[in-house]
Amino acid sequence: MSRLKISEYNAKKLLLPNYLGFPATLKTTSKEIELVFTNTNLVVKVDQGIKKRGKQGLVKVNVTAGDIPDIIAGWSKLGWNNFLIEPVIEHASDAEHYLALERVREGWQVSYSEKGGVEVESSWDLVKVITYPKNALPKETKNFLLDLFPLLDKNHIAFLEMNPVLVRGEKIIPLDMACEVDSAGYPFETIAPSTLQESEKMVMELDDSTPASLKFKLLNPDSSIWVFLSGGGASLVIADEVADQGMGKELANYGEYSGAPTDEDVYSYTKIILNQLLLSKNKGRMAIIIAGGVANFTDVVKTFRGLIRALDDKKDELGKAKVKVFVRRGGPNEEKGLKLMSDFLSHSKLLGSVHGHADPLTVVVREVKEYLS
Amino acid sequence: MISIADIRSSQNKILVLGNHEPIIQSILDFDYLSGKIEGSVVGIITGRRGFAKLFFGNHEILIPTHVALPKSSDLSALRSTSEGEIGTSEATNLWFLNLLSGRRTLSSTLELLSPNSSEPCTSECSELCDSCFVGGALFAENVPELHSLKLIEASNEKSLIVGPASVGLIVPGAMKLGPIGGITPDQIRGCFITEPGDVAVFSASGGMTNELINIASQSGHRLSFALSFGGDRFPVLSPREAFLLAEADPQTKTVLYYGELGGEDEYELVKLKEEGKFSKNVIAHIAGTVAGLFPESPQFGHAKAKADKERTTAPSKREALKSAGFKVSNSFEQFINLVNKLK
Repeated sequence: MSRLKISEYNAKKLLLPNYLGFPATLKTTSKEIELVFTNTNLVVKVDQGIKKRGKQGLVKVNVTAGDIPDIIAGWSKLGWNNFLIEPVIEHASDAEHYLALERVREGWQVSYSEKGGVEVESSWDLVKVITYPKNALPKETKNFLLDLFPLLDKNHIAFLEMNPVLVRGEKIIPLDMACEVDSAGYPFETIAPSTLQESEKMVMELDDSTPASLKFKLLNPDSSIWVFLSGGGASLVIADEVADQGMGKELANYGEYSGAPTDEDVYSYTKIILNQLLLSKNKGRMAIIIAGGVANFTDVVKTFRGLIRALDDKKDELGKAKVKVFVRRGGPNEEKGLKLMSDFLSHSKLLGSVHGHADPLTVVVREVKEYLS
Repeated sequence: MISIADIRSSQNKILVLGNHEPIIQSILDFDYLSGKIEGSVVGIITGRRGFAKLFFGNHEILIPTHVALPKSSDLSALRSTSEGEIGTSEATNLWFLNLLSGRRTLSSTLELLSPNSSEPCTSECSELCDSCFVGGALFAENVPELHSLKLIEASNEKSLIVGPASVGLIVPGAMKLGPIGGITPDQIRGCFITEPGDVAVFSASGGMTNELINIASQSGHRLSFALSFGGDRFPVLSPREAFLLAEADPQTKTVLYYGELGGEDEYELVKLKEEGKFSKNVIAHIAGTVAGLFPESPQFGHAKAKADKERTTAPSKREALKSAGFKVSNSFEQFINLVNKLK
């Protein structure tokens, strides 16, 4: 469905013949490391798909097997839990090049620079970008890339950045690799975002347990606008509108449910987010936006039943927190669903507004703005 | 590639892969409400030989179901044996609507595009196509990027194929290929998709296709045609190709365009404008400014909706389209206002 990161270890294992690397965790002992590497000069790094590891101090070079458990223990206290150990490959710093590949409509977009490593950011204008097969591949890397492309196809790899990479005659040695796969074709595990709040984790687990799609990202836990959105495009448009109308700082979360979730799915999902909302230190008025486009198949009544049950559980606390609910939704069973919602909201004194498909998608954003100001 | 004018002036027949009754019924409802004398669905590949019971207006009708894709000779028969059409001189376009899952989209579509190679297409086929189909729609989500690229290669800019993850293509009065415009008769009536007009709607999102159709119809406009590219990174019919269809269509005066962050498609539109290949009025909205509130652009609902670099963020694309001379809204409210002001 989308491009997702895989670990550096998995990427190198897939792409580099005879790759020597050892995936480590907090439990890894120096004995285990010594069994793999007779060489004492090692590099250890956090392997969770994050950018600029070097700058964040999450890479340590020229260490021994004995040093590593302590280094890992330190990183683990910061919340990291997957690591990679490799032998150090000695090289001069000016031997570090940059090579990146991205799958595009015309083939591969290849970016290449003599100046790689940490310097690539500051000398970005030296990076040459070509599209293969329309343009010829950079000479030094041609054979390497021609061997690599079929492997990338086979594994549905959509993006691969090698920085730094060493070029030694015919031999190309990527020291670091960042890799994104097309999740629609790649069957193995991808990396979960590394820093998740408890409520985000709970939604993720819920999402894994159902065929429907339930997404939740916490932006500002103490802000005043909480959104329950549906439909890929409509969700984006409504969240945008909050920002475009100058209320970006007030947006507490980005949350989307779709793919015909059951009443029970929506109930659990809503409950997790309402619990997070009620922790908000916001003192003024607050707004919940339940909105989406005109659904193709998702039953409005079914999903609204789940939402209403969860809101009902918390209606007193929501009332005390000065929360009003603003609704816009269309689709199968629209009239009945909106009636259910509007009856419940007026009865429990949470009613902001309720709109159907005939009113503009973003009508609730304007109303929320008025309510909050 | 077939032109929109050719779709209007011909008969259009649809072969459906996979059974999804509400969608198929909505096509027949559209046909009925458009005043056609019969429905456009000529067969459904369900894996079972028999008939599917559906409605054309108030009449129950039987549509043949097939075990597998009919051979090309049978396909040309499908085009000509529809009741009441025998002897008409009008050309008939054969379309497919592929409702199968993401995993089966590539293989089934390739089969459609090259029916039995030992039995080449008959001379009745339009010169426009390599096969008996002038085009189709791919409904499934979760089609791998590589499969889409193979489909782009196979369609070779000759077939008009929308998708993957597309709700389809609609040409008012002529053809509804997919759930686009809604699946209940009320929805179809409510957005006036049976009445032709001069506004084209293009959208990366299925739901937003319907929103834009509603916005156009509520401001008193009618559609020349509408289609959804689908939210994948490599739609078979690219926005560039859709704009060229609109440019060549004498009925279309204005294009309403909905795009999202991620991908480079909008820069192709900029190029079209700069090369003088596109001259019509455009009102565009690019969604995804909310990504700017996050430390790193998140992956949103659609596969393509993630900006990995500055160039593919919503603000950068809005700016590029504006500089090229397109009307681009700064908020969706403004988009609606621009459509309302449209003459």
